[in-house]
Amino acid sequence: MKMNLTRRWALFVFLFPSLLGFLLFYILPFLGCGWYSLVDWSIGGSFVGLKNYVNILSNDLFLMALANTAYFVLLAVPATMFLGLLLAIVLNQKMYGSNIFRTAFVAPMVIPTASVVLIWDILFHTQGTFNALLTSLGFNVIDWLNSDKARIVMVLLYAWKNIGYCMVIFLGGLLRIPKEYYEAAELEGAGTINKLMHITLPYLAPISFFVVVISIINSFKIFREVYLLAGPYPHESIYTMQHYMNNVFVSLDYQKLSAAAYVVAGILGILIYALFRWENKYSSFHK
Amino acid sequence: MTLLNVFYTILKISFLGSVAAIVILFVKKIFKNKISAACHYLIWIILLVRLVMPYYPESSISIYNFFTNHNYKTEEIQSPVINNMSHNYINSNNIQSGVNSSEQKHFSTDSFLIADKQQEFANKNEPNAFNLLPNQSRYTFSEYTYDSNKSRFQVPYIAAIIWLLGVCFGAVYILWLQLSYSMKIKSLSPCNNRNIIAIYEICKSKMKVNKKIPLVMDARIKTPSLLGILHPKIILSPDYVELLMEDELKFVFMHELAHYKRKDIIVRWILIFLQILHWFNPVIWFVFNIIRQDSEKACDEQVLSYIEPNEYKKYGNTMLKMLDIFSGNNSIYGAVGMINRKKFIIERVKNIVNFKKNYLLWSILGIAIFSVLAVFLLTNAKQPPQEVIKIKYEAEEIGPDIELESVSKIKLLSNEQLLTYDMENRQFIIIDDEGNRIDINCEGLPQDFPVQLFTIDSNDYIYTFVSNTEPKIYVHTLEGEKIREINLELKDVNISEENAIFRWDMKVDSKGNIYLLIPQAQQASTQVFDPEGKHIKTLKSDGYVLMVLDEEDNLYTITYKDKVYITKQNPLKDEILWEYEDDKNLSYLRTAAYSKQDQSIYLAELNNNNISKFDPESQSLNKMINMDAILSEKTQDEFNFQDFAINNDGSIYLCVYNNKDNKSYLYKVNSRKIHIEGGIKELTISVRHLSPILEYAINKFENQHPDIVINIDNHNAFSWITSDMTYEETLKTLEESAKKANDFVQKINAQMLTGKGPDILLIDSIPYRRYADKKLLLDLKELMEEDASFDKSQYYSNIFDALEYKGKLYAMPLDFSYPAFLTNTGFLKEQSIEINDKGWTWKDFIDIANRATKDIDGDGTIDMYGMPTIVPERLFQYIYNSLDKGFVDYETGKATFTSEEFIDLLKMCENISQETFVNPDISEGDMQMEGIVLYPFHIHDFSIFYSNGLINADEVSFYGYPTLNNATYNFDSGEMYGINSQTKYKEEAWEFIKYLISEEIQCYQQLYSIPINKRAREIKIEDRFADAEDMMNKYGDLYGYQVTSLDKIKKQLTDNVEKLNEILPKLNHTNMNDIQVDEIIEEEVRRFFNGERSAEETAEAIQRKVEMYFKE
Repeated sequence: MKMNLTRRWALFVFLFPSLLGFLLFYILPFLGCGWYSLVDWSIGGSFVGLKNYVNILSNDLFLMALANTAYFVLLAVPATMFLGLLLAIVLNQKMYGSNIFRTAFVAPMVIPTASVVLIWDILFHTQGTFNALLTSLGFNVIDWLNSDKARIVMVLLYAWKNIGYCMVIFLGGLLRIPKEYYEAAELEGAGTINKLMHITLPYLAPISFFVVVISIINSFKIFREVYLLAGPYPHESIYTMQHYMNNVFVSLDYQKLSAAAYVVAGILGILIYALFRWENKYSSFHK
Repeated sequence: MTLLNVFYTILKISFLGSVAAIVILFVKKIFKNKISAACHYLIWIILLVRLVMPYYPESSISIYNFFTNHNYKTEEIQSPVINNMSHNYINSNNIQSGVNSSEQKHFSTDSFLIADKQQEFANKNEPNAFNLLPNQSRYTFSEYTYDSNKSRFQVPYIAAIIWLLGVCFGAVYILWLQLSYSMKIKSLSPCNNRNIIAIYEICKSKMKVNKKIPLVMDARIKTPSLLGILHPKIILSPDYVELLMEDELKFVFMHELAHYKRKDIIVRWILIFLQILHWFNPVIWFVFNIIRQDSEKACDEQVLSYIEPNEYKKYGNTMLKMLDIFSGNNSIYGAVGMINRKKFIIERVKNIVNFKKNYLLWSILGIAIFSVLAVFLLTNAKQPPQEVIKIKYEAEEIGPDIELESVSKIKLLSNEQLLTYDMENRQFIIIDDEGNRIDINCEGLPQDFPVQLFTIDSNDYIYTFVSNTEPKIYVHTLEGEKIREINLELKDVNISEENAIFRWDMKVDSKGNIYLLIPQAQQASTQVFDPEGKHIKTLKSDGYVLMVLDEEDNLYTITYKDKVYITKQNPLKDEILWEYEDDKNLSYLRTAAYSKQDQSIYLAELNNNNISKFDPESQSLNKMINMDAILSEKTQDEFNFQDFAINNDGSIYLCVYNNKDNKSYLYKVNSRKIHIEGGIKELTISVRHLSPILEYAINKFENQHPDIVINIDNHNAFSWITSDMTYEETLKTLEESAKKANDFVQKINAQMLTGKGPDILLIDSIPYRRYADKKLLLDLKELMEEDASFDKSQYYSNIFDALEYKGKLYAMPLDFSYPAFLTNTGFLKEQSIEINDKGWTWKDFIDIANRATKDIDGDGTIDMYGMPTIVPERLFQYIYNSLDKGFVDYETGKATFTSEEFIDLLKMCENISQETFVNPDISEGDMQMEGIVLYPFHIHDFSIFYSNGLINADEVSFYGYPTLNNATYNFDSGEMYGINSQTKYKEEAWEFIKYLISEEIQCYQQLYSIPINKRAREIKIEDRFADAEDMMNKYGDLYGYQVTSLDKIKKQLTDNVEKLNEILPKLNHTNMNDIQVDEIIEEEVRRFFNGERSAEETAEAIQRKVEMYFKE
């Protein structure tokens, strides 16, 4: 829209405080980080160009962390979305206590991670609840957090926490679908599956893209739970990117940290850009 | 930013601005006709800038140099400055700090203050000061928070409030005016008169104004004015407008448009804003008026520049006509009218008449004046260099001739003389500053026992507590006359069981009420009696440690367990005024005193030999003096602190006992102010905990280098382990300590990353190898070689070599020890068990321990065990740290935890704790270790002397741990310090490090391990032998061991020292892990000992994780 100068100026004045904060605490550090990734030491280092990137990309540990993170995202995001959608569809019906259930599923999101981790630790400890159950049934003790099963535990934790989020957003999307379509479909004799496939899912598509993007970003944040459960050096299958970054920071290798951060930012950026492009195409196609 | 701060800033700006304004006025008067009106107007920008910004660069040509007072700003520092950094706050300036606790093997020699047999016995039961805190439990009041009674009605505060009220009033008034007028304006109709609009448009185009400025009619205003910043309008009055001719209207419009072009509206609003802020300054009001007039003149000038010269006169006439018509005042602040102040019309007319189109020359002159004024007025005066005054303390001995045998308490009389009691001669003595002594004979005082408890009251009467049969107090005057005898109604205390009365405390308040404190270690209670001896009350407590009375009869009681709790109460009125809590890890408070002069409480802490001051008003606990450092200037002998008193002008009297000649001495400590010329150099030292050695060294170093001020950042990042802790508690404390260490490392990391870290660091749990890789630490080896005065042969340079990393030395150790098994060789000989420490293995050790576990006297219970109980984690720590192999190679980045040796080690630690040769009654940290044969220990010279007493064996020796490699001899280093490579004061830092390892500091009595300075070690060994002989000759006792054969013991001691002498030059290895590796190992090992996994799995997990650590 065409804006005259005054209006633009007024807009700028109102946006300015927020913009200032964003600039100061987000953009500028990000750029500073970029600079650090191109020098060899943060205090008085010399410019080395892309050497840091080459270093970390040829580092086994970093690549393993990258693979772990990708694996986790590919596992956790679809699972959460699918379950979230399921729950949303189920809880969209008029049934007794749907509100209570909705609250119950969203509640895990608001509990602070540290408290959640306490309980999870008790559950999955080598001498914890699940193992006690297993031994009482006669099976062997499984070392949950220090073997391959660790990944499953983390996915479970992530899912438990974030299903509520997906569910709520899908619920919002479901509510927007006009009832008339369903009624029309019923008149024409569509069954449940048909209704699901041809009405619900297409209309949920724009929302789903949003959920996918947010879920991917959230799944990167699993570091908090892993760190609190298993410390800075967990089992290999759950050693994620942020572990690498965190540990490298403690060892004062600031340049590696910055390079790793930029790699992650780059990957995420490309991913999300691709998703948005696809979404545009999809929605314009469908319009 | 408190109100006062803002107020003071405004005052300052106002004052400086006024000065600037006057100068500008002056300058303008000089150049009145030489520069154009526009320049006159623009010069005022300087004033506006001056009034708005508070900060300017300093320059010597500033005009303000005339106005600064030349008192040098002085800062008084009580150096060294010790900053206590807890996780949630930082207290600075001489805060009492934590105490060395990481080595729990150092035993205090305080137990051996011997004045007479009774005391000796009592002293042995005294809790050991170094690694144990007496179990004081806390008296819990309801939570009273301290309310500081600072008067809220001081004058500057009132002035600030008045100013603020004025500002608010002004702001509200202006805003209201503006709002109300802008509402009215909205409803005004635009001008409809075509003619007028046409004239207006012509003017606009002539002056090249593009913005749409509507004309609005309002009957209420008098002069035509321009109004508004965002949406400017010109307001005309329809009635008056008709009175003007076309030309005159043209001039009016042009004048207003000129105002618009110059953005005068904005300037006016700035002026209003500033005027509100500086409403109290008449100069500002006056000057601002002049600014407004200048703006008019400048506008006139601008108008004139757009019209033909022959119209100038017409313009002037227009103005006069306007004056005629519109004789009222303009009451709208934000408006700029054509007429302001009749008087100045005359001036303006004059200007119009004299107007010439500007010459370039005058513009240049204008610019020149502008720049010169800017430079003069927009800079601040040069601040004079800050002068620093150091407060230093000096001790002088009182009366070198007074012969005091054994004095343990001193009291200050109202005439500033000291009252003491000599235990040896059983005599009360008064001593004055010159050292004259007057003996007092108190009549009627039972002479069979020495007086253990006495005090004085405000009338200078001596109260003596006597308790041979019943508790009584005798009251005497200073001449020795007995005034009365009080029978004390002592409740709940069995007098006959008490034999350490000297540990009690007694105070008398101004009304004669007597307070008696019986400390925790005995039958704790604190009781109050009236002057007749009748019991008034017992203060509910489990035992205070100290109590002090102030002049208003308020009682301050002090307890400490893990924190220091100071409570102020008035027991007779049953009031608790406040309670203060401080977690500075103080230990062993010995005495307290109240000072009338500054109304604070002084505490004497025995571990670091400090006196600290608690100031109730600012609620801060600060360190005052380090007695060791002060007294070491006067005497080289070692002494034990006994008591202190403070007189009315703040001087401190110390009473100390000299072990060598068994006499007591009195010192008076005065403070002295030293002016430091020139700049001071500040050295910052960051430590995890403040050891007594460092404290001693910094005090002495500062005395010798007056221009250096040392700041200590003490992070207090450790937790005590006391001997009464259970297994779980010990583990928890270890975890807590590890976490605190981790936090400390993070903090230091963050500081170093910013490039502003401390100059010197204590390298304890800091990953110095990483720092070294990043070139954050200086290479000390290089400094050693460059320094010609440094002689390597004076030190155990093999230790230096062993601590090298990649060929450079980054950490300078102050002391070290040799980890080995302390062995009861006498018993082993009896049982014909032999230890071959040249090649024995851990299996041999287990074997020997088993064989040593025996039931000697045949009563069915085992009397002698192989080892005390040590929790497996600690045992693992001991052995792992003392192994000649760390399983980690830092230089290559490889780890070998999956090797069999490590797995065997884990299994062995687990097994040992369950073996039968472990004594269940004795655990590490116990004071008496009788009943064990082998004890994992840190051997140093001092420990050789007290080992007999420790394990109560006739013959002791030590054997190095079973090694895996015969060529390595392990040692454990003590404190180590490194220098930050970014420090500004390299030489000073190196000087300090050198000083730390110099003979002077290394001979300090609190340095118990093996000093790195060879000569210091020799001196210490000589001293120890002398002390031991003395002890054995006088009492037949060697640190708790009853000596049977003097010669045998002497030979044993000499042999052991010789053995150590042989080993020391061979030491070539130490285990120092990076803190992350230590954490990994600790966590996995803990899981292993918990039974969660097997040894192989643990080793694998550690290996994997450490490999990850190295790969990063």
